[in-house]
Amino acid sequence: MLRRHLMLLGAGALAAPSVHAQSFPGAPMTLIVPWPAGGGSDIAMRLIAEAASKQFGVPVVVENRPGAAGAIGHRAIVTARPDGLTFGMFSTAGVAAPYLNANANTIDELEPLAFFGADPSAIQASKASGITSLADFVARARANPGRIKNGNDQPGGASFLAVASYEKMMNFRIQKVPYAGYAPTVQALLAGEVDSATVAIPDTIEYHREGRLKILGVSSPTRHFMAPEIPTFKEQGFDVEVGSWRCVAGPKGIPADRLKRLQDGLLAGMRTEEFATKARTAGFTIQPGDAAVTLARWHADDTLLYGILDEAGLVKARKR
Amino acid sequence: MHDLISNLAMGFGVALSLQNIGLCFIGCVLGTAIGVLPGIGPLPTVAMLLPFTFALDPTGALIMLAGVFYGAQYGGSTTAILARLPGETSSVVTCLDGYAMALKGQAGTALAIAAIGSVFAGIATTLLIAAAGPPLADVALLFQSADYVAVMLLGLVSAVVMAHGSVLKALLMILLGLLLGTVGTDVASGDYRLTMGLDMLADGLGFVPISMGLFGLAEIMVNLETMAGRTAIAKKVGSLWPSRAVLRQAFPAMLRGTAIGAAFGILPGGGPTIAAFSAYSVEKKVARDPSRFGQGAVEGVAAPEAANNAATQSCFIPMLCLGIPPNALMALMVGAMMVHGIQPGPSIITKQPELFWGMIASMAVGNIILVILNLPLIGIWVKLLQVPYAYLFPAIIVFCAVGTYTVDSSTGDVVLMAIFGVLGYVFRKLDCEPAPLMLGLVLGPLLEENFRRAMVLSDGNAMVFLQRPISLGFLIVAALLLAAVLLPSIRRGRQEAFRE
Amino acid sequence: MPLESGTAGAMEAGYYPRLVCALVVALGCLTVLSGVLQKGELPETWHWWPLVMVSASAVAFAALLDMAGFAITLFVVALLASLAGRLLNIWRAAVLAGVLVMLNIALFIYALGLPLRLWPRI
Repeated sequence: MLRRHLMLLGAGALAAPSVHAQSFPGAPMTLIVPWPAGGGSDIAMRLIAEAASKQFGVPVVVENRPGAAGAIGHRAIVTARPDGLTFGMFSTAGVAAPYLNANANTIDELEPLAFFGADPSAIQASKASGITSLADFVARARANPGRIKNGNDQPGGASFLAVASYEKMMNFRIQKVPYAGYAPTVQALLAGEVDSATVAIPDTIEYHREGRLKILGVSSPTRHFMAPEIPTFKEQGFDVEVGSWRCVAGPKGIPADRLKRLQDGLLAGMRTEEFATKARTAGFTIQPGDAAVTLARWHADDTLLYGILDEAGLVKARKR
Repeated sequence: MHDLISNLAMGFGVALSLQNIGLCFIGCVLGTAIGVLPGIGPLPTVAMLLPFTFALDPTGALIMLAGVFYGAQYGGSTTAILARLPGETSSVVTCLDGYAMALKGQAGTALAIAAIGSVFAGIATTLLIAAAGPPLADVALLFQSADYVAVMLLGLVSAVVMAHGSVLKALLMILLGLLLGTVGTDVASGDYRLTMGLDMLADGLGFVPISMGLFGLAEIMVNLETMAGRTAIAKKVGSLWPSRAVLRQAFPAMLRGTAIGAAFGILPGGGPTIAAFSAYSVEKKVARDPSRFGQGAVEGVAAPEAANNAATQSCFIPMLCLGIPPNALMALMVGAMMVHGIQPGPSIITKQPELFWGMIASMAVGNIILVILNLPLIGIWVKLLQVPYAYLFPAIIVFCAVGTYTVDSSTGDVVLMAIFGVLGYVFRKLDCEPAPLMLGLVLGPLLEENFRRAMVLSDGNAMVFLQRPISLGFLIVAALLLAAVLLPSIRRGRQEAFRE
Repeated sequence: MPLESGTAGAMEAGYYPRLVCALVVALGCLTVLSGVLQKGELPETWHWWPLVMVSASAVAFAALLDMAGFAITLFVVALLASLAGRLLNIWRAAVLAGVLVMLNIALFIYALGLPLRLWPRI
């Protein structure tokens, strides 16, 4: 009782919270996920919802609003009532979306809340392709531009942005064949319909160990904790880091006191030991960060991805 | 063989634990309930249940989620038979003869045949998975985009066979369905297509509002025209239990339906739906008197119900044996496994034998639970039909409106349902059947996606469909089937022309 | 802005819809032709009342729900629906509507716990 009193006093001295802020949230919160239930993003956000619920003491309900490569869910976040009770997931693909789709919301319409983490991208080769290493892959791609067929998301999706980034950074060109999600991409790779893919490590590691496909490398500074046997790009002589990150964002216009409470609560939830263990079990690489970290990442990727998309002739909807 | 028995014994040991039987039961009850309710399908239900399963062990979680999935197939046929409301895509076909049987006072028989067909197919396919799951899973890897195109074309052609009116109209309805399927966001480019600037169309036209309109509302509009003196849908309610003669008639249909369903279920995409349509057309082709179909032929209920349940079970094969989810629901299951740190892949069988075999055994247990649960319910369902129509149809309309709304919490969908209700009425007046349209709508987006990918992979060479043996095989079957339907009708047309 | 077609090897969003559309037009012409050439019966007569009233009840649901809340909306929908049949007098229809409202509230709000607002927003 005394401690709570002291904390309130301290908080009052710092931010002079209104009566509303003291009772915030005081009602169930909604976490909008712009992707279907069951996918990687959905699982990550459900873990956050669970952690946030413990921090705020109210239920945090996950609402899946999939469609239009995330644009529908992002719209739901942007147009939500800015009372701090509704927020949602935003990711790499969301930064790129407004350049491809005139109806998609831009980063300027969102309020950064907290950073979840970045999953490193990787390149996988099918068994049928006979590609032996990353160097072999790059050599073949450079020798025969557009001949290697790569399975990836539709333009703007995470694995599409990954392969487009590789093309630019490593100076080669391959054919990008779109699939609706990682599962069909992996299937096409196993069936030998495509020669390579650029999906995440957890989705392919078991097939690599069974010898049904080959993970050529992971494009992160260190090896992936789930696949310590896979070398990084850098170890193989390519200084390239590509990944897709996820974060939590809200609508613009949340009152400052509530915003602070929301940002702190989300970050504290993600920094618990329990959250770290659960996220690791599910295969996520987490790097919890605050709103400033999140915003910096948005701006950095906005510049990077615009360059990649512009070069690929994909900037259709709006110019910077 | 010995391995199989000991593995199954281990599986039943897992599935028959008190906790897992309980979870299986909860899943089956929930599944049946949402199957009966129009609107809410197994997908959102499983998505809602997902967080609760975080606290369970992965085997128990998957057993419950699977129960919801196949339970919904049982429930879905109930409204199709009683009120011509297909709750799931795969029960569109059941509407045709199931509802016709209900009109003739045989609703009890139709429901019983649907349940028996489902349980038979469910258990048979479960045994198939146990005996030959892994090699069958590899079959799915033989299929490439071009082959899926051919499979879907075969499925579409089968919808022409099942139509009992003009072949030309049936083809047109399929094409109309395909065209409606192009509304929404283009998968490959992300462009909005034919959405008329409406946000609600960005994800395409939903199955539920369209089927509720075309089937449910249109049926009521037509019924009300002639309803003045009629009081109940079925004046007499025949016996609830099918006679031995009916069972003998239905059994071969169940067998064929199970085989067709198990085969199509392994392939990604529209498995259960293509299976149900194909099974129906096969029955119509092998029947001595095809004109009975659409008028309440018992085979027209038994075969598609067996097929959709067999396909529902066999789509677990690629998920369990390869870790590849063939549809959105299986993707949810993979998600449930990943939360528990189980990575998708073929190693599930060796690394998690208790999960694999427990899951398989639980499907057999679940099917038995479902049939025990559903057979006594038939009596209650049939009683509903004795409610005077004047009271029944407003209830159905309210039910359709709320059900459609609940899918996406979208009032726009309810307006869409009304529009398609009017369209459905017009189609009825013009003798155009809505079932082929529904198949076109469901398969359209998949067909386009695979067609475009196949063309990209072949650098724009359309011959790829004839060069791949699998694709060529399916195309030949489709062409033969189409010719077999077209020739008699052309001949008939010529005879009529001569007569004039 | 018209959708681009692209080429067979690199299709854009407009290719497939145009392909299907061309087939619809072709088959449509065939159907018209066969309709003109063959003698057949005229379509059955249309009954406008059920057609209009059934659609109106569904549209009423969409129009009222956000404003009037679940209970009142359903009452109106059920009433309009009963009128479509002209089988019940207004009092019986009202009683039926009341019963349906209660059943649906019990099912969708209490049993299934759907987040629907029961009464109008004040």
